[in-house]
Amino acid sequence: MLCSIYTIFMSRNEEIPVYNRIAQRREFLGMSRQALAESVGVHYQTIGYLERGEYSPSLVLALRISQVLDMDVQSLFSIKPFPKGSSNE
Amino acid sequence: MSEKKENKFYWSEGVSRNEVVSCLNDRKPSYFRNQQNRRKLMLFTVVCLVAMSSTVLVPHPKLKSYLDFVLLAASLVLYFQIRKSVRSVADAPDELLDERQIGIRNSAYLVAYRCLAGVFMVHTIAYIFASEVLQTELRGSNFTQVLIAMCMWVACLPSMALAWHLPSETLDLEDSK
Repeated sequence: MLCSIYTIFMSRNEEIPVYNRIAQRREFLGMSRQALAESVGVHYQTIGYLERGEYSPSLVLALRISQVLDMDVQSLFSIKPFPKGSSNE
Repeated sequence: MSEKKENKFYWSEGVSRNEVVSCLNDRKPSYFRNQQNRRKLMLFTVVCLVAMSSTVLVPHPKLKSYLDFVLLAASLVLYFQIRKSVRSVADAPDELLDERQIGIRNSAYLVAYRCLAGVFMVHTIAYIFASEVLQTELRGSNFTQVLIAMCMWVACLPSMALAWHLPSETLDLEDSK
């Protein structure tokens, strides 16, 4: 019963995952999460959520991140998993 | 251009700019960064608020007034603690949050609204039960205490929903690097 009450109150639509290569690109550029977060104007935890694939960014944020990381948005974000060795998983 | 950041107070949200900024950037380890501990805090707040509404059933006026005072103080302490445990995201204005934080805050308000409907329903049924079956007089200080409890529910529920939902922050300690 508690489970069904929880489902009614807390249910949310499952989001389609957005895969990204933020972590690889950021490490390649030698940039910290804090520095990237400040450059794109978000909280540092949000970068962690993005890198772990736990949050899908808005188009504006995706464009800002790709601009700061100097990479095409299509190369940085994808709705299909990146080939092994280049994915963030 | 010198950018002076004044400690603006947001009256509608009941928070100051410095309070929210320091909460959001606080990297000190805390007992309530853990989801399980936050959930315990949330459940403890629920118990305290339910007890606050239930003091109308206490027959001794002196004991009731002591209980009212203690429970009000406890619920205020718990309110500020639960607010701090979710980094004041539930009460922060849009301009101090990023898009993810605004998203989770808005989701928390939706959950809080639904829960509040349930709380109102339970209070109404309890009011009818107390006045019709138990013949309890719900006027004066009795009714004031129920109203205060309802105000506390309204204030606490968004933070409580966030406290329940947000994952543990153990991983996030690496995020600041």
